[in-house]
Amino acid sequence: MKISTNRYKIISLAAVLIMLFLWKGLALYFDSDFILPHPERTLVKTLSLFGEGQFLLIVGATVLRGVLGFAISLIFGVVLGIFAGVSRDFNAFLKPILVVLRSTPVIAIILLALIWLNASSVPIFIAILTMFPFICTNTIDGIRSVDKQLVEMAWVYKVSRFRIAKEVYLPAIMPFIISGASSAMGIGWRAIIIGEVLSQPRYGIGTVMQSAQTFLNVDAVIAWTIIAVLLSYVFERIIRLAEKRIVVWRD
Amino acid sequence: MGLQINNLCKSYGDLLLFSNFNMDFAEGSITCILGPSGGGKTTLLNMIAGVVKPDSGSMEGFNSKVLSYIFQDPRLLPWKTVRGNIEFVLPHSEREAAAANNLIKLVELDGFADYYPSQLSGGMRQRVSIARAFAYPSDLILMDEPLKGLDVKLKMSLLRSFIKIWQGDRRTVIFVTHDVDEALMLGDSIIVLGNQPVAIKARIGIDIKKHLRDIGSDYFQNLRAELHNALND
Repeated sequence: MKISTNRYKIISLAAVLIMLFLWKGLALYFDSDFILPHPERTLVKTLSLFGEGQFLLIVGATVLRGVLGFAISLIFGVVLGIFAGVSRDFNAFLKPILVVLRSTPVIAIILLALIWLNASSVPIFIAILTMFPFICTNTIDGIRSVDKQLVEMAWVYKVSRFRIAKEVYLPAIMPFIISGASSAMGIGWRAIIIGEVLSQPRYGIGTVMQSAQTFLNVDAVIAWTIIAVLLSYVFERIIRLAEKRIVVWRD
Repeated sequence: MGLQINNLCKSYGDLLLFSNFNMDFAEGSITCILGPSGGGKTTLLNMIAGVVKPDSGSMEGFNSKVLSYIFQDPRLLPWKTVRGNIEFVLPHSEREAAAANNLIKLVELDGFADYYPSQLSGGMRQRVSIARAFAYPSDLILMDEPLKGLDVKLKMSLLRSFIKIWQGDRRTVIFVTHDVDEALMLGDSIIVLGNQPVAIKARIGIDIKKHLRDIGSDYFQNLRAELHNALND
């Protein structure tokens, strides 16, 4: 077991190295910082970003938007998902809304949001509209997957409705909510940054990426991209950690 | 006063399962119900439990009874430990926590109280389900082929545990099975049901203490033959 885990780690590492070599090769070929800067120079640039005075403000603004959008999506997604999972009627009502939300191009929502909202709320709005359908759909699936035999058992033993909801339904849908939250987060960060690029709030990763692009600071564009990827990774880890603490029974 | 089922009728679509079916159960004893699979035995238990509504007929004496149910599958909550699963059904858990501990010992699961179902074997899970049924302050225990699919050795050890617990706590038990030997080991009375509609084909009583029964003896061989005859009739 241990050997094979190491083996896969080595293969994954090889993939990263190949990407870096490819990058380096292309950088040598173009030989221009305005097209593709060298990887080592970009790495230095990325590290230097951490030292910049406004770094925390910029990243903090994006994180705040992400967390806010995620929290709102989570609350609405879970609550509406539970209602839709329990009531066929409400599900029939919610279904077309979810389909429309999921199939509308993000850019279309952004263009409309730019007209309706102020620069700082656009990314949050986008985040909610992209994340909510994932969490909601997964919650509905979770409720559907609850073992009816367990509910019947609880009912035969005269367990109260409240405890059935809390101790049978909630734990059963938890893994679904977490996996929905995880996919939502992955999509959400991308949506927020696109939103920031276009709406140009005062602070935000998307804002600085856009201005770097305008001045052809390609190294800065890539450096901020790396920061965005790291951010997404950190939150993915947080969700997985939460999962491990919440879903302890799965062996 | 016993428990009585009078003029019970139940059909599913065109399938007439019960038609003016009558049956009674002695309290404080174990009644085994034998019959072919898919013959309405589970439906009968579910009507007694109130999970399925009969089309017509009356059930006397059942309303005032609190009941436990040992299902064919253990039906344990995967996210609760052995102790958590037992306490889940208890109305006021603090007082009964001691009872839960005691029952975990009785079903020979001491040391496993904090294990999750996924960490237990199939036989151990069914033991938890038995402990849960006895921990619950019920008057009546319904059992729906709880030993189906377990190997013979495991079956025997579970039956012995069940007998041991029951002898210290004699509740009314209705035990549905298709296994004649299980019925011979447990039953104070054994009822053989026939199909479509369900009717009683044979009824025997056994007056030997359960832990003293030798189901290999001539006496039990004769009973076994009698039950097989009724089943295949």
